[in-house]
Formats: sequence, C-alpha cells, structure tokens
Amino acid sequence: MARRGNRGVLLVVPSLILIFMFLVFPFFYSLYYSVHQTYFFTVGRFSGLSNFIEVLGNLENIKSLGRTLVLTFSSAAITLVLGILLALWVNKKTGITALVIQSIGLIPWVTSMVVGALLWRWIFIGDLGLFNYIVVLLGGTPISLLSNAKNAMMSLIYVVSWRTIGYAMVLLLAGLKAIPEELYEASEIDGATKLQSLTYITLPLLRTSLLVTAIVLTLSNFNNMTVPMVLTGGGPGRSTNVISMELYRQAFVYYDFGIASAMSSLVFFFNTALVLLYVRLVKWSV
Amino acid sequence: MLDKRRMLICFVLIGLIMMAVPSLAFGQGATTIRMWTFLNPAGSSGREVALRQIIENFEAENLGIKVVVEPQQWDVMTSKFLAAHQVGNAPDICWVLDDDLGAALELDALADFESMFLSEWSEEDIQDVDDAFWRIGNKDGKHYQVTLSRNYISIIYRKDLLETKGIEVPIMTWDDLIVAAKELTEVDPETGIMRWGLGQAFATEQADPPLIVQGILNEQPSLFAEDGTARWSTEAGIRALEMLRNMILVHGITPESAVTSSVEDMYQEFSAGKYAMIIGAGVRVESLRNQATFDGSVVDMMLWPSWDGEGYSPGAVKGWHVGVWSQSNHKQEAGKFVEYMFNEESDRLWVTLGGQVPVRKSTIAREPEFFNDPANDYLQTMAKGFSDYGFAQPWEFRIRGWKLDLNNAVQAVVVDGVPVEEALKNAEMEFNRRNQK
Amino acid sequence: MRLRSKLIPVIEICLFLVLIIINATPIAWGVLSSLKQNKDILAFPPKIIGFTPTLEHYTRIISSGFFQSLLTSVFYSAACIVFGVLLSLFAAYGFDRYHFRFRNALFLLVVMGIPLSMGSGALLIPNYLYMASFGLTNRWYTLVLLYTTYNLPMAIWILKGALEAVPKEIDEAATIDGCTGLSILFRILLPLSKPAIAAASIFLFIGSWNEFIAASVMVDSPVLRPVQLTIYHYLGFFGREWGPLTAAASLAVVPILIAFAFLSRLLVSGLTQGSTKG
Repeated sequence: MARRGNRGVLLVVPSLILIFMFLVFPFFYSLYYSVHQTYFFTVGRFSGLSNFIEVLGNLENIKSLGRTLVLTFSSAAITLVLGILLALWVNKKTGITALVIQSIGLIPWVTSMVVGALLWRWIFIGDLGLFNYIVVLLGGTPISLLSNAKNAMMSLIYVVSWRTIGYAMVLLLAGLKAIPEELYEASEIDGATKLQSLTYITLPLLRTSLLVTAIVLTLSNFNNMTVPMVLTGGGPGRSTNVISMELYRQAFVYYDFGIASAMSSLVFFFNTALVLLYVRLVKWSV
Repeated sequence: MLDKRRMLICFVLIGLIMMAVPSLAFGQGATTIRMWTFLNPAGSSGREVALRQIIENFEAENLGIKVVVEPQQWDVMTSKFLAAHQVGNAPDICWVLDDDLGAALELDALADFESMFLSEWSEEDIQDVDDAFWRIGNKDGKHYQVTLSRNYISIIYRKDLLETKGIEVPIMTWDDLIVAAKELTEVDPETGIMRWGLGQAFATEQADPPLIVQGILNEQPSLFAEDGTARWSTEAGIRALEMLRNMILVHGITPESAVTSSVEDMYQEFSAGKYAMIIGAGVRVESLRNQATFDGSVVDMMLWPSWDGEGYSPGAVKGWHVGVWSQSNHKQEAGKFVEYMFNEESDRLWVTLGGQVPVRKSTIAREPEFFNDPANDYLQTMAKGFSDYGFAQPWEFRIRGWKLDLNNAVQAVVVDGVPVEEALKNAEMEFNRRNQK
Repeated sequence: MRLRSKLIPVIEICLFLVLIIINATPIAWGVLSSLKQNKDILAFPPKIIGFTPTLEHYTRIISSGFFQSLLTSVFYSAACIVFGVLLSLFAAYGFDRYHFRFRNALFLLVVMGIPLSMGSGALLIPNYLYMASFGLTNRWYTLVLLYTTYNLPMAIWILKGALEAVPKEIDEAATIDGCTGLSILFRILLPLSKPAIAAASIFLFIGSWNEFIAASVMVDSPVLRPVQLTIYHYLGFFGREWGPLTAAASLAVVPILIAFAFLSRLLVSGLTQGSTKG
C-alpha cells in the first residue's frame, strides 16, 4: 500500500538538496566551461561544440577509451568472481574467523590509494623490486612488469582488481546475509546439492547485489585516476594511457578546463549509458 | 520516543547558524599574513626548520604582525592560488611554481615589489641580489618575485665510482660522457645489482626536461621562437635526440626501462645503487645522500658537457617564485615579510640550515666555513650554473606542457621507432596547437 | 567422504594463505619499511630481517601534527556516517514506500549521482571556484558536506535495495497496530536492514577517510586537513620519503580497521528475523 505524496517528498528533499548543490550544479557549471575557450579559469569566447569535436576527433582519445574499457571490464570481472567466492566463503564463518578474513580482504581497500599503488610500483619496478627479487630467487629471469606494454596493462588490471575485491566482498556479503536460512534448509530437505543451492537459490536472490556491485565496480574502475597515474603513469609510451589520466592531464597539467570539462561530460554520459545498459541486461534475464 | 525528524531539523538549523557565524579572527589587534608554501614550519627537514626560524625572527622584530603558514600540496598549490585569486580570497603570499609564473603574471595575480619595499633599497643591496633569477618575471620593468629554493638540473654522479675508473671530472664533451658511462655500466660485484652509467627518466608525469634540451641550447639561444612557437626540430635538436636514442639503444648506458621511469623512480634507484650518474636536480642531492644505501657523501654534481668541449651546456634553472597577492589587504606587511625572507640573516639560515644556494652574492663571502666544506661543493657548482650556464623557462608566452611534449618525442623514438625528425616535428605541433590557441 | 572432510580445512588454510600473501604483501612491506632506517629502506637485496628497527619515522610524523589530522579525519568520517545514514535512510524510505510525482525521475537522478561523484576529480578546481564564490570552502563543514554528498547516492541505492526486500505486508501489519510513518521506519525496517546499513556505513567511512583530491583543493588551513593530506605531504616536492610515508599510511589504516570491527558485527549477524515465516 503506497502512501500519499507529501511525506515522501519531505523525506527525500534533504538528500536531493545536497546532491543538487554539490553534484548537479557543478556538472552544469562544467558544461558551461566546456562550450567556451578557456585560459586557466577565465572564460573566453563561446565556442559551441568545438571542444567536444576536438576531444572526439583526437585518435589518441579513442584509443584511450579502448584501453579504459579493457581495464574496466577485465578488473570488474575478476573482482566480481573473486568477490563472490570470498563472500560465499566468509558467509559460512562466524565470529573471529569471519572478522579476520574480512579484515584481510578489506586491507587493500582501506589503505590510502596512492600509497597502495606506490608500494606495488615499488614491488614491480625493474630488477630492484621485490617481485623480481623473488623471481630470481626462484631461479627465473627478471620480468619487466611495467616497461613492457602488455605486462603494464596486466599489472594495472591486477592492482585495480586487488584494490576493489574488499569492496565487492562487503557488498555481496550484505546481499548474502539477506537471504533467509529457511530457503537453504528447505532445499536441503528436498535433496538439492550445494551446487544446485548455489545456482537456483543464491545467485538469483543475489541479483540486485550483483548488479549494484557490478555497476559500482565498473564506474569506479573507469574513473580511477590515481592507480594508473601512480602505477604506470600512462606508460610505457601510451599503452596504459586511460581516459582518466588524459582527463587529469588536461585539467591539472595543461589547465585547459574547456577541454577537460568537455571530456568529463562525455565520460559522464558514457558512464550513464553503461549503467543503463547493465540495468537493461539484468531486467532481460528475468 | 523523540521524533527523529525533529532532531534532523535541529541539526540543520544548528548547521545553518554555524555557517552564518563568521570564522574567528586570529589574535585581535594583530595583522595576520597568510602564506601558502609546500614547506611545513612544524616539520623537521632543514628547510622547514629554516623557515620556522625566519618566521620567529620576523615576528620578534615586528610585534603586531603574525605570519600563518598553510602548507599545501606542491602540485596543486599554484593553480589553487590562481583560482583563489579569481574568487578573491587568495593568501597574502604564495610560492608560485616556475611553470606557472607566466600565468600568474598574465592574470595579474602578483603585486610589484617597487610599490612595497624595493624603492627604498640601496644600490648596493640591489647589486647583491641582482642575477638571472632576479630578472625573471620583469613585466614592464618591475619585479614581482624573488626566487627561493633555487634549483639547477645537471648531472649528479658518484665520486667513488668515477674515481675507481679514473674518470676525470668535470666531463667536457658529450662523447667523453658516453665513453665514461659505458665504462661505468657493469654489474656491481658486492650487491649483484646491474648498474647503468647514466640514469634518465622519460615518463611524462612530473617530467624534467630530457637532455635534448642541453644539446639544443648548446647551439641555439632558445628553445622557442620570439612568438612562442617551439623550435625543436632544428639541426641541433635532431642531433641531440639521435644522441639520446643511441645512448639507450646503441651504447647501452641508459636502460630501456627509462621510458617508464618517472623522475622519482630514477632518484630512488640511484639511492639504491642502480646508476653511476643521473640527470638530476641540485635540491635533491641532500635527500639522495640521506637515502643512499652506500656512503651518501660521495654524491656530487657536475655541469653539462658540450659538443665541442669549450665551456658547458646550459642547465635548466628553476625555483619557487615567492610573490605577494595583488589584492591582498595587507600588502605592505606581506611585502615586509617577503623582503625579510631574503635579507642577509635569512639568507644565511636558508643556506646553513636549509642547504640551499644563497640568494645574495655576499652570503658566500660571509659563510666561508660552510662553503669550504667539500660536502657543499655541489652548491657552488649550482651557483656557477646559475650565473653562467643556466636557462630559465620563458614567462612571456605560454609554454604549457613543453617538457611533456619533449619526453613524448623521446618515447616515440625509443619505444615506437618513430624517426627522430618526425618525432620532434610532432612534438612541436602538439605544443603549438595547445599554446597558440 | 571422510577424506573430503579432512581435505576441506587444508584447502581452506591454503586459500587463507594465498589471500594473505596477495592482499597483505604490499602492506606488510610498507609497515616493514616504516620501521627501517633510511639507508636500509632502499637496500638491495631487500632486507626482510637483518636491519636495526627504528621508530624515528613515527616520532617524526607525530611531532609534525599527525594525530591532529587523524582526529580531523575521524570527525569528518563520523559526521559523514551520521548524516549519510540518516539522510539516505529517509530518502530510501521515501523512494520505496511512498508515491509522489517525479519519484522515478528523481531516483534516477540520485543514481546518476554515482558516476557524477566518481568522475569529479578532474573538475575540482572549477568546483573550487563555484564553492568559493558561496564562501563554502575552507570551513569545518566543507568536507563533511562534500563527502556526504559524494557517497550519498550509493548509500541511498543500497538502502533502497534492502528496503525493497522487506515485504510491504509488514508495514500494513504495523499500521494496524497503530504505528505511523517514521516509527515504522525506525522500529521495524531499520532493524531488518542492519546489514545494508552496515555496508552503507562502511562505504561512507572509507569513502570519506581515503579521499584526498577534494581535500587538497577545498581546504587551506592545517587544522582542517584530513589524515590523507598529511600522508601525501611526504610525497612532497623533494621526493618520496618512504619512511614517514609508510609510517603515516600504516597508522592511518588503524581507525578504519577498528571501525570495521564494530560495523562488521552488524554485517555478519544480520539475519532476517523470520519476519514472514509461515
């Protein structure tokens, strides 16, 4: 039974005010920048869509987008799978064991992003890093993890996944906990195996959690500026130059806020499209 | 049970009231000057101790003025300052990054020293500070900044290793440099680390200019034409980039990983013993000595070689430009403090406590013990570089991202095999496109 | 059958070890480095043991005001959690249990807030201009407002999902018993959504604790700086100072783990109380 409107509006208004003030208005402010030529913060002449055209017409940006998609989806997929496994495992534990496992799973997420990525860079880089030290100890030859285009991308995917597994675990665990025990008990009585329970009870009921997690992971990975910058700096050459790094460069190095705003708006629209796509896909698989 | 909604409304009201109350003013009756810098007076490094001392001295001599330092992240500080200038609540004093001085002047963010204290200076005093740094930013003949934390980019090397190989310092020609670096490239017998003769870094984040610049400036007066367009694909430029390319791919004195190394990685690896020489900044010598896994005192600095061995190539001259906000409400007091920061006593503190190159020429004469200490030889090298072999970034026209473009050219040549002239032309085009809009 | 039940604990321990190695290696390396003297930090071969430990980096950061920024961060995060949970509970309740005009459109707006807040990093300097012109920068509530807002869409979405799962019959039953609007929310729905609230709180906490870009731009005075800025100070102009950097980063993780220990009890113990049994 739904209730009449007014109360509902009042409940929702405080959040909406904040969201309008600090997310929506700045977005429109940046749209304003994106249709002008700018020097630092001074807004120059109106230039219509020329900034957008410049951004879209630059081949490098399209390539960046491609790399970003590879990074985003690979990491999201890895994290999702490992996150589910981890959540399922922790779900069966109680008390201190659960706490310890969860805390260890969370450590990558709770350490400051820059320091975490820097430490990995230190471990990965060159022949002096911990990684190659261990490889050599085990009798192999040093692998160049960050100076080789393919390896650099894989290292990037690895670190991004590493960071977000704790995130996924927490979200999915919350979803798991909401599934009533009785369903499992009933199915056991009916003679279902663990695998069947998993497929027919857990996964469907976890659908919303999975969707939310997938969306958040995708968005977070897509927009992550810090890890690519600290871990690979876009290199070697341009092989890990993802969109977020390009955006950072335009804004904080070149101070071309017209272009940066145009790029940022395009990224936002792309992100929204991704989210809508996800939601559609889930609705279809009902 | 309390109606939680009423509680929320209370929260909001309290919040609104607090927003309306203006923030407390510091010390009634005293003028407060705000300064933005990357140094933290509460910190323990030499420069921070020096700053703290200078502030204490100033406040003791000027009762009624308080200096409040708000340390900022160095890479966003200047853009924050310029944004704050636009909105009207910038700090009274700011340390401006050399890359952004041109912008600061173009946006009229800095006040001229003449209107604050300079007109009262004696000729002698002006002579004491007059040098290439002092003339930076002289828009319309006025002075808008004093350069502190002066920096020079040149070759940092390990005395012990060069001595063992019998290599004479300073190295005068590029060929000699390559030969020396080749000899120094070997596996270190003690630690098993593969050591390279010349460490460089070409990652485009926090880029330092690659040594193409030295090659170019050896033959051209400037990297830029009078209208601000880049002049890199000249004969000198092509020759320089070819040499750089060969250093990595032919002579093997610089590892290929240099294309992904950032400047920070290079410094770190030098401290860990991976390089015999690197292209580095003078202000880092001290921290390199501190973090070295070998005996730090062997770290020293030399000037750049040249094509023909007659004299040295110019090195990049950098620093932090300290200026007063043009719309500060306390311009005179802020000007007083800026003036104080480079008077004789303060200069002495910057040098002896902070390990910096002095701003005043007279400081060298006044601190013979300090400058005769061989550990401080590199400061004298830097000073020589400043006076005779240095080039500062131009501030008269826009030069955003020039270092990145040059480093990109290096990467294109080494990683993607792009021909040298084409890479330089592309870099020029990129630079011009961005800055000539 | 017996072999299987003996094998499982072994597999679990192996999994556990793998987890520790992958997750904790860089952190362990960081903590280790924070205890080394400068000349040992960069040594090769890397020294895992065989160095004289020192607390000099810890004393250095503490004497430079580390604890104050830690407290500031605790304040920001706590305020963010309180406001965030309250506001998102109200909003989720409103969106789920009430019908009003534009309800779906507004909810969509909230959801779009998630990509908006994630992509906001590059545009912080123009945002600074926008906020500074209202005088909202460099105040005690600046970062509280920002952090709450950035994490609010996510929190609302999580809580709405949790509320959706609670059947509306419960609301009806409660109304018959004489409960109204808000008390239904607090007396009945809240206890049933504890795991979701815990999850939302964790996100709010960590989202506000680890944020640094907005902090470096939006506040100026040292007293308003959160702990992340203190950490990044050691990635300063003069290079990476690994010693104090890792010391600061190690200390900064402690409060989160403590908070998590509390919040996870909510997370782990939240089972539906058999609300619709039978």
